[in-house]
Amino acid sequence: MTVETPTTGAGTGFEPRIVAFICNWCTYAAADLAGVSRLQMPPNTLNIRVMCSGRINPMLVIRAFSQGADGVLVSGCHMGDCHYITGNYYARRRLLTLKSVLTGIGIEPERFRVTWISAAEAQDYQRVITEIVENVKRLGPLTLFRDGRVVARETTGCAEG
Amino acid sequence: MRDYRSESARLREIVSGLLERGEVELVVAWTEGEDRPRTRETLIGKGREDLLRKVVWSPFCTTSTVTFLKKNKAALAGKRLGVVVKDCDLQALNVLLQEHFLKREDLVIIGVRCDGLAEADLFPRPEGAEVPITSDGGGVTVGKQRRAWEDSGFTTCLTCSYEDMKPDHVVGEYGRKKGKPEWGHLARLQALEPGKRREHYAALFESCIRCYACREVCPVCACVECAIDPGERAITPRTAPSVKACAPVWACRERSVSENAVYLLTRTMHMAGRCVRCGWCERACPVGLPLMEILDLSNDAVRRVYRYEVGRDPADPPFLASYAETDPDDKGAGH
Ligand code: SF4
Ligand code: SF4
Repeated sequence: MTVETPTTGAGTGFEPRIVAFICNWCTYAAADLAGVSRLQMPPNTLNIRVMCSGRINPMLVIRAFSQGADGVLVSGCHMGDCHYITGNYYARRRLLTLKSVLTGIGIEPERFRVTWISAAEAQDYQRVITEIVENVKRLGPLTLFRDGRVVARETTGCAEG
Repeated sequence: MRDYRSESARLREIVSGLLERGEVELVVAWTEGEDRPRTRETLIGKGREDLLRKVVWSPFCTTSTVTFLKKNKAALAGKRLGVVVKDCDLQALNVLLQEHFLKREDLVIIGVRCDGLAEADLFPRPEGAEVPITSDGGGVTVGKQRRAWEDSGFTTCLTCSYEDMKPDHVVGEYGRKKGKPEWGHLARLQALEPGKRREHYAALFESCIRCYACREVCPVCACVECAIDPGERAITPRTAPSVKACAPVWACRERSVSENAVYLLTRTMHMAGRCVRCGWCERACPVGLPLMEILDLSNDAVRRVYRYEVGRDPADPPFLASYAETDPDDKGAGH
């Protein structure tokens, strides 16, 4: 997975690339509803549908950042509403621990968000996406993982050193 | 004052008793030899009087017997084992027991009450095996050479707070008050601007040479197949070619900030609720990276935000395999 960041340099032209892992049962449905309701929001997200927020291994988030994402969202069902009963409880503990680590190394908290949005809350989805994109635009591209070298092109190995 | 010669004698009694009565087949304990006071982990079986004579407990038993168990897991599987542990080793052992890496009923745990460790290199080699090793609240003494705990080379021991865990047998008594966990180094870093922090950690990531010494030496970094290092992937004759070809490689071996960060961040997350803060990874790193600066980011969250005590009891649920309804939510931009 390589996320090509449509960066035209920090400043006015910067369009951040946000990777959003959203769960099939709630947030994906909310995104869908936002679409059919024609709610306006920035087109900077790459949505990845997963069956449950509990599926999100911290490595997926770390990898998204290292491959060029400027921001990451993980969003699932509200507590108590998980299709698999407790998936989001496990996700919450794991992802917020990850957030402490990422914030600790200097990745601004605005760049990694964990939210719970139900299938009916299309407007919340619109608000969260707009918020993230605006915040990350203000912060500029995430440069921590870009050391001027080309990193793995594919998940199956290094194409270039 | 603690006299480690008499405590070692008591330890030998317990170990030989266990082997004599057939309660265990093998015992993992520290032994010392010509290079006293240095010690090493040794596997001792029944009738090995030669090894039994050398069994020792002193502040120079710095290595982890649990790392030894982890490394020799395949060879030791199914055997009844005795294992001598310090407080931090016992904590790591509890983590592995919580994850069913080892079975509690296979083990007889002999706990030594530890006041802190000392680096053998800092002491001149004692003349003869009879030179006493003692310690008190202030420091360690080998013969005539005395050093304060603070200059004995093991800073992690100064802030170690584990005590009174429940092994099957206990050797020795605490001779000094245990410390308190210290987070000052983190607070200093976290006071910096995010940009400065990124620079600091990017420099750390950049210097890593991916030798994986930190993983090898860690008592709880015990997965058979490491997600990060494809070389470790368990491939059997029955593994299909498609599986080999498609097995995801999470971080390639290239040395770059990006790939090293994936390794070190993933390891930090894997250690959440498992790291016992023994400091061995930091000591083993050939580049001398301050690894606790990154591991403590998750350690701090686990202990301070979630109030989870790592490795207290083998029956506790692992941190990431449990949750509480009261776990905090993402506070959005502020955190
Ligand atoms: S301090 Fe390092 S070696 Fe010790 S348990 Fe934690 S990660 Fe492992
Ligand atoms: S021991 Fe140090 S250099 Fe080696 S992999 Fe770990 S952090 Fe990197």
